[in-house]
Amino acid sequence: MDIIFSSIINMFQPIILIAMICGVSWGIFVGALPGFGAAIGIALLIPFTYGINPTIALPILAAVYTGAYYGGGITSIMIGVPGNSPAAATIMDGFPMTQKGKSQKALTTSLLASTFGGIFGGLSLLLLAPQLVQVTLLFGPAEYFVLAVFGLTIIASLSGASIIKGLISGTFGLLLSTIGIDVITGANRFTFGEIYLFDGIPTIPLILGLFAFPRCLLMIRDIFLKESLTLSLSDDKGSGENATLKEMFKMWKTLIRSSIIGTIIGIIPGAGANIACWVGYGEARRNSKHPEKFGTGIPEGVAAAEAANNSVAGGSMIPLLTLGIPGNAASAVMLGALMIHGLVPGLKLFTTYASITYTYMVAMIFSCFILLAVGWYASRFFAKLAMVNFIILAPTIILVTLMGSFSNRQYVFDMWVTLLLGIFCYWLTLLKYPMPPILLGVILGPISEKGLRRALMISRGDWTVFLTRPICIILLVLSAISVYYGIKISKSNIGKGIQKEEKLKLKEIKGS
Amino acid sequence: MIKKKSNASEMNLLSHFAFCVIAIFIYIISFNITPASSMFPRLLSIVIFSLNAFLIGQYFYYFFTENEKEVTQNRKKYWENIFNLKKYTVIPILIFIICYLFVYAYPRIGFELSGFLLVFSIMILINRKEAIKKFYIAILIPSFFLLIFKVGLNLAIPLTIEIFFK
Repeated sequence: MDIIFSSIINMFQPIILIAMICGVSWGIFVGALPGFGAAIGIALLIPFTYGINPTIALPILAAVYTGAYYGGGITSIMIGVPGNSPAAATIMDGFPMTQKGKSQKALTTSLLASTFGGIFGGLSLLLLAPQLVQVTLLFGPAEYFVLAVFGLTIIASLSGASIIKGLISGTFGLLLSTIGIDVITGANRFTFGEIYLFDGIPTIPLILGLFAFPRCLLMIRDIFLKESLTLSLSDDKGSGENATLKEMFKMWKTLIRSSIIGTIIGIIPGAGANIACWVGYGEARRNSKHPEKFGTGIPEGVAAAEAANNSVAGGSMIPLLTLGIPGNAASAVMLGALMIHGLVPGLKLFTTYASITYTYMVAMIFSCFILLAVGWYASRFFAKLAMVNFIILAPTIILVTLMGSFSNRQYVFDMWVTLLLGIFCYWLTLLKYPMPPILLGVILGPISEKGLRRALMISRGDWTVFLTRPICIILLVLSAISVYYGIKISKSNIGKGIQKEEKLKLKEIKGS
Repeated sequence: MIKKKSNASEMNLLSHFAFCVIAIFIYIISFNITPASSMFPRLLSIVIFSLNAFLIGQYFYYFFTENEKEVTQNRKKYWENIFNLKKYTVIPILIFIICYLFVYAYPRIGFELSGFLLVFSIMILINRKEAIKKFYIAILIPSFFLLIFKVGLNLAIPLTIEIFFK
């Protein structure tokens, strides 16, 4: 306890406070830039923190991590482009809220939910790390494969119009993940001799090609169809009402549920915020008295997704700090940062380097309070993005999208990936194929393939291995339930909602 | 239910066939890979093919059971809104060509010039009014991002100044 208290006192040192404010601001900024996000934000900052004392450097990185998760949600809400993949689920209700002129409310809901989720995840990290880490040890290859199946069925059931199209998208994503060198046998698959594809389809150009580029094309198309030169926010001047604590308190069940989901998924290596946001969102919709309202622009949808993805930040640190297993790309970069500072995950981190480790863990929580303060004003600042003229915004986003795809590996090839995927996904979007399952498929592909092949190797080709393990059975049952509910929802409420939306669009088109 | 399915059916049918072709292509070329490495992609191609075959079957089921008048009306409405509107197809293709030229030119003429051409041409394509103002904006936007990417993020960006003056 003494270490925790001394770590809390450390947080009030002016230098750490200022450093964390800068870290959160940088995190929000990088998180909001499409294609960037926590991983790149942290990676870019590592060289600057290398020479700094770890008790200052690690809180800065923790602050970037927290800020970036929130920042990703800002662009999801404001322009319908996720700053990073964990913010993909925020689009579902965040962007419709903006279209309704409630961007300010969506942003503050996102901020408060992010703060809550971040604190919850941080507390879990601080208090439950040694206990919860045992759960991940129960996961074998078969469980990882079934977990991937569960993740895909969840996302397919959330895809709205047709669960089959969601499943096709998800399977197509899995297929894309097989491009590159097979990590088990070393065989070259579907690269057609292109060396840039040996590591598989690069994630950042893929995300931009799936979300950002089609969104730009749709944005420009909308300008022509609607003759509108600004975002559809005619009644929203960026100064609308904020989310209140009372409203947030009404969503306490959703916030706690999503935070628990996010923390647990964060603990499972490889799962990460990309899944957590969808599971959190899906569970909130499933448990809601009005599931048909989800996807139409309600604060609860934003809160569910944001609380889940921000709580992952703390959860993903549990296996990282104890076992050295990164839960996602950002925590993998964080692992590198820890090692640069001479901190090797494991028992020593909690004994020899306990003061630094606890400072870092407390910083994860403390940065949420800083996020609340900075984000409250930053949200208003970013809300003004919505007022930018579309004529300026559209080419700007295209430029940032193409440069964002270049930024990671600095290959022009990655820009081609974004461009070709972008035009392909534009047509898929028009035909109501959901994009998030493709992304999830690509992310889950390596995990699921390794899980499937290793499980079959262990069982000597016996497929019943997936039906004989308790965790697999639970996950398969949950998958079946999510498919069932997905079909039920798409047939009833959401299907009708989409039909209405299509009719409205047709009217708009005819009108213009 | 039947009406809803037939609304966007023709174009969807095309996409289902396209996915089937992709699945068959993947299945065939996976024979060039070792059996252990080709197992997963082959499994996925079978799943994609099956799901799309189901949707194709569903389409033809509705095609033969639906009222003829409804089919004609729905199809007419659909084609009107997808293909008769050039804005759905021509504009995205033009934007794609501009972006294609940007990516092609970017390493050859540098970020400043290619970025300017990208931003300016898209702005002019959207709206031709106030061309002079747009010209200045098209200079400012890439300049701003040049500062972020080059100075802030330290990316190895090919610069027009370096290409033409070194």
